[in-house]
Amino acid sequence: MITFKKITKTYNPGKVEVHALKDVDITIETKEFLTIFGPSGSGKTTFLNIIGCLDVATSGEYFFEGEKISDLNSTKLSMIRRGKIGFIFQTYNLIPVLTTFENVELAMILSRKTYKKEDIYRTLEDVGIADLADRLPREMSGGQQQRVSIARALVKSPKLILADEPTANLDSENATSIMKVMRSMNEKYDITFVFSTHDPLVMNFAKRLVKLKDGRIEEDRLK
Amino acid sequence: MIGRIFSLALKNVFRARTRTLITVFAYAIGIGMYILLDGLLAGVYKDSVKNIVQKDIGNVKIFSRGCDINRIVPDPGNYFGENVYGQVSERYKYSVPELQFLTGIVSGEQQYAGVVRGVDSKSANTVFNYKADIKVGSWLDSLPDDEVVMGELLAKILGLNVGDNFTVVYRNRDGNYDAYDFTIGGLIYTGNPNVDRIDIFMKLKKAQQMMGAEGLLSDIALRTNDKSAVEKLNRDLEGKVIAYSWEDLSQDFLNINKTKKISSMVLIMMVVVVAVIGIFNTILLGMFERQREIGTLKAFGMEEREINLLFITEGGIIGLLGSIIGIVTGIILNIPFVTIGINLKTFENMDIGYPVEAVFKSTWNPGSMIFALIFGVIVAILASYYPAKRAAKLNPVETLRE
Repeated sequence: MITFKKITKTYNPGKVEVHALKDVDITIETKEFLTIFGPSGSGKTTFLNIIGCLDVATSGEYFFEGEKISDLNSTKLSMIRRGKIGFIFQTYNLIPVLTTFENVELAMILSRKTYKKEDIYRTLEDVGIADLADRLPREMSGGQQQRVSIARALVKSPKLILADEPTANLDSENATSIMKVMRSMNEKYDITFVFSTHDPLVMNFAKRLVKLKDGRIEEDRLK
Repeated sequence: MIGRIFSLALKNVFRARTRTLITVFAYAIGIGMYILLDGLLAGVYKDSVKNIVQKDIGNVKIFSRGCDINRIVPDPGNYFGENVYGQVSERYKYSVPELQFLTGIVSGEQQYAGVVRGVDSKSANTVFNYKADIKVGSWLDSLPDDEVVMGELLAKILGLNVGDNFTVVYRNRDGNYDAYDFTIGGLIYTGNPNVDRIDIFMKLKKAQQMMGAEGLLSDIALRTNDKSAVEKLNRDLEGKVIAYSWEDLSQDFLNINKTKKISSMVLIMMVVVVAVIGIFNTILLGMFERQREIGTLKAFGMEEREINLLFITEGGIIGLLGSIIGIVTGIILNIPFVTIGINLKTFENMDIGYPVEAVFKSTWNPGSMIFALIFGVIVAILASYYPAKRAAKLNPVETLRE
């Protein structure tokens, strides 16, 4: 599903260069539940940004479902993001003026896919927050907000969901619960999940672990 | 999508409620001031035109060709024959022959300058309805020849009343000084200071006799709805006379009105500039505060033009709210000025540069309200253009890292 060929990302090219990723080769198959881990500054977020079409590599080739992504312009990247990729953020990043339902619906609207209200409610049920549909983000706990964030990523039936430190702001009980939800979605809807994390709990849930160090893959193993 | 962007923008506008309300309030003050001042200026203009046309010079005035219309009254050398009035009155029923000349008014120790208006008493009343403006005494048609009707404000300045005597000192047509004693038979108050502070009305024959100008006129005033009257008269009354519209004869007033309108606009524009800075600031701050949110929306596929539209819509909503509240405020403030008006007598008959005195009323101008609404929204949209563009150009990678 995803193939990186010699992906390199350099910040400040020509000046004081910072190599976030160096010649990274990796293939990620459909339905994987993969965790990228490594120390701060190892390139985890850059890796996720490039997979998520939010950023482009300085060199190398990136294929998403057979399509060469590294040659696409920002509009095309935006179209791939909206149709095929869901995001879950460490700080949830919900729109504070929108209710749970509206936050999830907004992702559906932005995907430009046709939908019915029932589709939104079904997703809310999937992540266990159907009863919170009318709540604003400030009226919910961190765990509940992260569930909304998951629902928002899931609702448009993406091929891939990227989660950047999804449990970093949660206690272990909520973190376990959130990981269980994502694992069940991975199995129920065959969605590929890629995490970046420091959290051992997330690593425990992973089916595959990739360790980054200084922008290179140091370790890549199945669990 | 557009509907969703509008709904999101509406919610965003009230996120920083205090900031938004201050901006809307500043905007509303600018728009409200515009509505109020526009109403007052339009009202005073309307009353002024009414006073000029209905109480002083009519719609059209005929002078002898070569007469300097910038002088207060025509020079005796520019008088013309009464036969012209015969031709004019055949076509225009509401016309009045006049003989005007400058005069000094002497009453005891008091001396004052004025204008004698010798008029045909019947037709002057038909054209200007002067009888209805007589406050004390009578109009000329029921007075003997040696009694006159004086502007009430002029009489007040001279300390005169009905039945009092005074002397008119003037230069006759031959250039010799002469004097006549008159008795005040009536006091007139038209609301036009050019009449009430200056004019002494007497019968035409008497004025002609005083000036040694029997059978001559200084001008003819007429009231008509015929927009092409000036053109027709100038075509048909070939030779000695020429017709002017009231606008031709009121250039000073029209220029004062234009200047006052421009200065009011400048004042209002200054308020609007402050309000525009407020909108710019509000949208820009919103953009800085919501960078992560913008990054999230971009990650989910919102395009640059949609983010641009979102922020511009927020500016437009603030402008719309400010304009609506401003218009409503302007209307509320204007109500007492429309119904009761401004009484200049309270300010010692202050000269405001318009031919109005006592009470003048503001007016309603729906066109200005529609203009204010459209202008308010467009300016607000323009003010939010730059912050919106900056928001649209934000790099999601950087904003999500914040």
